Amino acid sequence: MFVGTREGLRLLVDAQASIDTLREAIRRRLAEAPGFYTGASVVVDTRGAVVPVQWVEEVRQVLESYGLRLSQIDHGAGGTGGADGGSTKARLRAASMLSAATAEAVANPDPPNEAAPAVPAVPGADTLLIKQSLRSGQCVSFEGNLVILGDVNPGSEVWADGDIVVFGTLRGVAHAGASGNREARVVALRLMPTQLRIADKICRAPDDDVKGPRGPEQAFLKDGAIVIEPWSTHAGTVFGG
Amino acid sequence: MSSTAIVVTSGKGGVGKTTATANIGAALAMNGPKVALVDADIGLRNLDLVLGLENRIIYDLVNVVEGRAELRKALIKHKHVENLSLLPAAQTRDKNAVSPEQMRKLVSDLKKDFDFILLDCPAGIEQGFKNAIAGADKAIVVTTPEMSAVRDADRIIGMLMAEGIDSPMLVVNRIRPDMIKRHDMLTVDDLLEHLKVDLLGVVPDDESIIVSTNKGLPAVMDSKSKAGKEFKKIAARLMGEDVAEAAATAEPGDEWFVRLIKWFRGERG
Repeated sequence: MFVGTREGLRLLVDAQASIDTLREAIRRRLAEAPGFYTGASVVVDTRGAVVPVQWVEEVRQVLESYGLRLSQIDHGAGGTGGADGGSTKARLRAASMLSAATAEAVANPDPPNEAAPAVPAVPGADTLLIKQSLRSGQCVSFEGNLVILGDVNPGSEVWADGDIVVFGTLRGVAHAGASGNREARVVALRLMPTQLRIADKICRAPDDDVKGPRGPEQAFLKDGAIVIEPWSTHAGTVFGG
Repeated sequence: MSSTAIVVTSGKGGVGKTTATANIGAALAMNGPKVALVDADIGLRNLDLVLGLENRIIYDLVNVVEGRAELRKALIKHKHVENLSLLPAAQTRDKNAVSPEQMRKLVSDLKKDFDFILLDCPAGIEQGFKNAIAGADKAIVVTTPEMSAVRDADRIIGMLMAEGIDSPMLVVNRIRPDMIKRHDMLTVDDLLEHLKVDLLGVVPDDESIIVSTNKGLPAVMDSKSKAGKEFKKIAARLMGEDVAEAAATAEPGDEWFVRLIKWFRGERG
């Protein structure tokens, strides 16, 4: 996975991954933006692992075949934001687990190993982007913010320590601020959840049939209760405002 | 009154296990006993939906067996039927999340507070079935008048007996009297001839079930529902009453109907 830094491109790699896995990951990433990276110099960050010389040569060849130049191998426990490399983890549980390939950290579109159960940590990445709908039984939890580009169906759950944004219809259970953040919000294009939880507060859908919302709405805590308002970007209602 | 744990099972999917569990449970509770419904269909839960309680779920069965939630807190009281409670299944887990030993413990804990415990069994004969029957004293086998459902019911009855649940009770669901008259549908007698078990009740195919399921209100709460009436009779029979009135589908003199009466008289005599 690539991270842009002031010095240029930094390639974070899993030293445990096979060279084939890495080659495939790089290829996929570069295929997404052909030509964009051409000529760039790359720092390869092994995140503390010491790698064999043969391995370095392989990586260099892979990079060069795509027009990139290997400028440095960084064995340090480095990071771009100073965050601990293991602190931001997405846990995807459930029997019908989402494949790691569909869950992407924003700064981290390419897990080096698709079979890995956890999305690899990227220092500074605090938002997880899920580019698919969640069906019944699927559950995503993340220690930062969660953005779902799709629907969250009844019977599925999204848990985030930060905010939850659903670019679609939220009909399942959403828990924002799961570890106690009372400033957390839930925003959805159509907010009609089975149950909403923010920090330690819970509210549920009314039992009677109610008309669906007309537009995007947000839920947040106000005087200790969950309130829902139409989404607006007016001062005071935006995130963190 | 000592409490009884009854598993509602069928082998085949889609024959009406969940509907039967919800309706028999609600009918029992409306007569006074305290009833706990346990959704053992982990990963494909539906009982909460049929009872209209989906939005009240905080903790589930898996949370309880894993010791992360108290049983008391996971139980959801029904909003209209006072003595009815639901222990919902987890949706984001699967059947392997619990073991038969854990289910046995769970049921014995529930017996302290409830007179009847109804376990809604998943379709199939695998882990989920083994979990659901683990704590059960009795079994209700639901079938429909179709050969495929009857075959599966037969298999299930064999497996129940192997587990020591000796006399399963049969509920025949979705009977259509008009089709039976035209000889287009297996009769209840055909089923009993094949399965050789005691008949607990016969429920007609009834559109009101679909309506009540979608509304989240058991059909037994609708006094006009034909199926609801039969489920009420089934509940009364489970409580030991001699409710031998003909099902809505019965022609007077039907042989199975006579056998039903005989069975109840025999048991009581």
